[in-house]
Amino acid sequence: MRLRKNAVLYWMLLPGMILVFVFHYLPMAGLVMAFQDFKPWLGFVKSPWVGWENFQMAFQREDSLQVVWNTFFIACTKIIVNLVVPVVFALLLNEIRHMGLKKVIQTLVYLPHFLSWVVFGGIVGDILSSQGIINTLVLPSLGLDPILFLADGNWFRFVVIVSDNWKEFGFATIVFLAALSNIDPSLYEAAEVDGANRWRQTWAVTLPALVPIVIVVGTLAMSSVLNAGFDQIFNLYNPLVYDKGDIIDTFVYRVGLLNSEFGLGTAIGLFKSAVGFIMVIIAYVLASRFANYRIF
Amino acid sequence: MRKKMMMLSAILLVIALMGTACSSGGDKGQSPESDVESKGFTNGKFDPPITLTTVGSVGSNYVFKNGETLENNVHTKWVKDNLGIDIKYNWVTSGDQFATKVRLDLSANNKMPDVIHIYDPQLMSDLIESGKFMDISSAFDKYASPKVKQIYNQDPMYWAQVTKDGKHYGLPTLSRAQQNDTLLWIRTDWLKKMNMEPPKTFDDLEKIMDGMKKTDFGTGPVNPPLAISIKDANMPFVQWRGDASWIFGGYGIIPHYWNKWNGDKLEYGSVQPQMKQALAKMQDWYKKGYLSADVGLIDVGKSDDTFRNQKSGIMTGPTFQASVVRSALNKNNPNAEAAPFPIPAGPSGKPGLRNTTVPGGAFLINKDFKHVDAFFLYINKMYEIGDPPKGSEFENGYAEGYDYVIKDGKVSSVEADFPDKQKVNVASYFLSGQPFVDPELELNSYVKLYNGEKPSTPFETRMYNAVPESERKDPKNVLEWKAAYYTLQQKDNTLANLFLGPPTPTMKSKWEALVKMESETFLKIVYGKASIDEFDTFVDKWKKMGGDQITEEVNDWYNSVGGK
Repeated sequence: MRLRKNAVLYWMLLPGMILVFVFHYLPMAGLVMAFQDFKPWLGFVKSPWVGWENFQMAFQREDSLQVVWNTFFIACTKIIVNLVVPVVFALLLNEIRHMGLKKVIQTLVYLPHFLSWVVFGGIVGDILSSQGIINTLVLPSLGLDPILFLADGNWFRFVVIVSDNWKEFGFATIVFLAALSNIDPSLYEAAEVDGANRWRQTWAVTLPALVPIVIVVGTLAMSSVLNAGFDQIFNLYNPLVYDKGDIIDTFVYRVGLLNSEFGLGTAIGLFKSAVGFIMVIIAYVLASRFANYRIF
Repeated sequence: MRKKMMMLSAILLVIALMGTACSSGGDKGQSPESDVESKGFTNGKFDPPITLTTVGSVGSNYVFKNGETLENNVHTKWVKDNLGIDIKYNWVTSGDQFATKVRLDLSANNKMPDVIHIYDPQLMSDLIESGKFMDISSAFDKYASPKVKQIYNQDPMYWAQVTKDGKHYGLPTLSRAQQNDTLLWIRTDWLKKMNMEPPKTFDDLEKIMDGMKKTDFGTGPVNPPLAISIKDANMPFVQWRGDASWIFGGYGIIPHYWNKWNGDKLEYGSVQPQMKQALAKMQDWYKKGYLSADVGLIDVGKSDDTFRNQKSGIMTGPTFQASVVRSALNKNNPNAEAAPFPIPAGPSGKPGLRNTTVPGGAFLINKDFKHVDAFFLYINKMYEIGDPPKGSEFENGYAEGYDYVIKDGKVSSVEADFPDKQKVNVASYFLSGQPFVDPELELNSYVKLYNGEKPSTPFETRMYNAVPESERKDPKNVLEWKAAYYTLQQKDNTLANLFLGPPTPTMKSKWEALVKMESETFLKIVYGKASIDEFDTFVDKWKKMGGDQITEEVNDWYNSVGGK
């Protein structure tokens, strides 16, 4: 009976389901490549099977652990920074009473989100080059020596994390601003009556109200714990920072696409997905246990 | 009622979406060409016209006028009207997307075009291995004109890339010999001001670079004196411009190149002991500020920019860099003077520079293509008009208003003489995107002009007309001609890459790791982030990680194609 009543809604669900199936489930069949010496012209059926050879090859390389660690380190730092900064920024922005100013700031900070990394990477590269404004104006005026940001591994990681945050924090802020506007004003009124100042109100009312959404965003982000951002790294990295900046995706790109070793590339990609899957499950269990957050 | 309408529209929406999802991948039903033996080849024209499908890419330097496209332009029209060949592009993409798109077609098992022109050696070997393309040996014997045969038989190595099991799986396209051989382009007005002679040795060069750093030329500080780029992650030191390989050449080797460096076996340049000294030299130059602090981060375009913007006094690159001087540097400063010079001698006592590989890409022909004769008709004709006889309709160029104009009754291919100030390189519309000429022809013709001879063939006249009249009076100082002269002079100092084959089996699985280690080590040494002794560690590792095995395989390949 309920099914019939909601039939129209189910029908409307169908296009989305089809898209997900076609673009997310169907391509999974291609994962068989991870166990094959895949040749495009032979296809999945005729390409020879090689068992775990591709995985062995991937993890025999002396740089494979380094690459996984780079990915993990960069991705995790990004997740944390990209959670903290937008929350703080949303709180600050929320305190601005002038609506016009608030809107303008909000728009300005989320504009970079719409630039592609090809463009944004070029801008970052120019700013940080030896002839860029940081090295010719900012650092000398502080009495510091020029720094070759993109030619030094540690600085490279720093740049990657900061520039990613610069590009994305404005967009993430919107989610938290929406959550802030949903807080019942009577809670603030009650707190005020109880004699809480603004700082205390933030601590006792605003932050607890934000916790659920922070957990949701954090949980979703856990799936990308091995996703350090191909577009960004690819547009910024160079052989000088391979040891600190080469990540799984750039590695797969070079091996799988440029060298046409599709099997090896897929094997590494499969490993990445498996780790991501496990991380999502762990994060979900934690979220449901400690914050009572449930999707299902 | 309202509910029903909603239901209906929802269903319609779903059906529409499903329709779009399923309709891709159609458009495959191309009817096969008729099997009837046509007289087209012997007549020199196919009547009715036959269709030749291909795929193409448009580079950033492509220019179109009169609303033309790669699919429909002065060249395709001419081919259809005169040869009866209707060139159809299955798709056209940007230059950097081309190889990816071909790979996708290959993976999706889409029908391959009749003719495909490929540069990427890895992709070429994949395509040949796919078995979708034909052995053209017998067709070449049957249809190629005597002139084409003469050109292609000059060197068996031309065919190296397309040879598999002794068969020729494609027609290589030949670039001009020495066309990418590097020269030094130096600001001669700066040399004069410093009272210095052009460099004969690396020591001279160091003095010049040092002088440039210390002299005020009224254009701001010179930084860096030497404009090169070592950004490329696969071959940092070998570039078509902004090249650094001549620094290593001065020690007798070229990095990334396979050659018989010692003895009679092919060996990899980057692991030779001379490499260590050359890297130490680059490390020293970097420390002294002769190279850009960002030399490992900027691409060749940006490194040339520093020369254009008068931040650098020396750039590297082949003959065509004349255009950087003429159109870019002189726009910034009409009084700036720069000229090409040969590569100076290194500590080995001799200069050394990388050789241009003549076979660049290759045409592969689909196995199912019924008109390989039409393809050869096109090739024969194109080689004919590449070096046309007197009185030919192509005497002055490929198309009036495109690559030449008649101004005041005189033929000119100087861009400023065009009514719309827009000159078009018609050869970029050809199936290979480059002119079909004997590889040796251009350089020899340039040198003739340099020596003050008047042009005697239409081909030479064309080149003559491309230089502004005011400059022609002093042939020894026409940049292109002078560059060609030096290029030919230093030809004996060139070092070739003798490995042109497809990646060997061990290369396929190990090469990426080796290249990664190589680029990382070398760049860190240049930047002074690693000690020069890291080089020895690198060589040991390289050999153990598959390098020795690869060396064997490369030599097997070399022997199999009859390398001497």
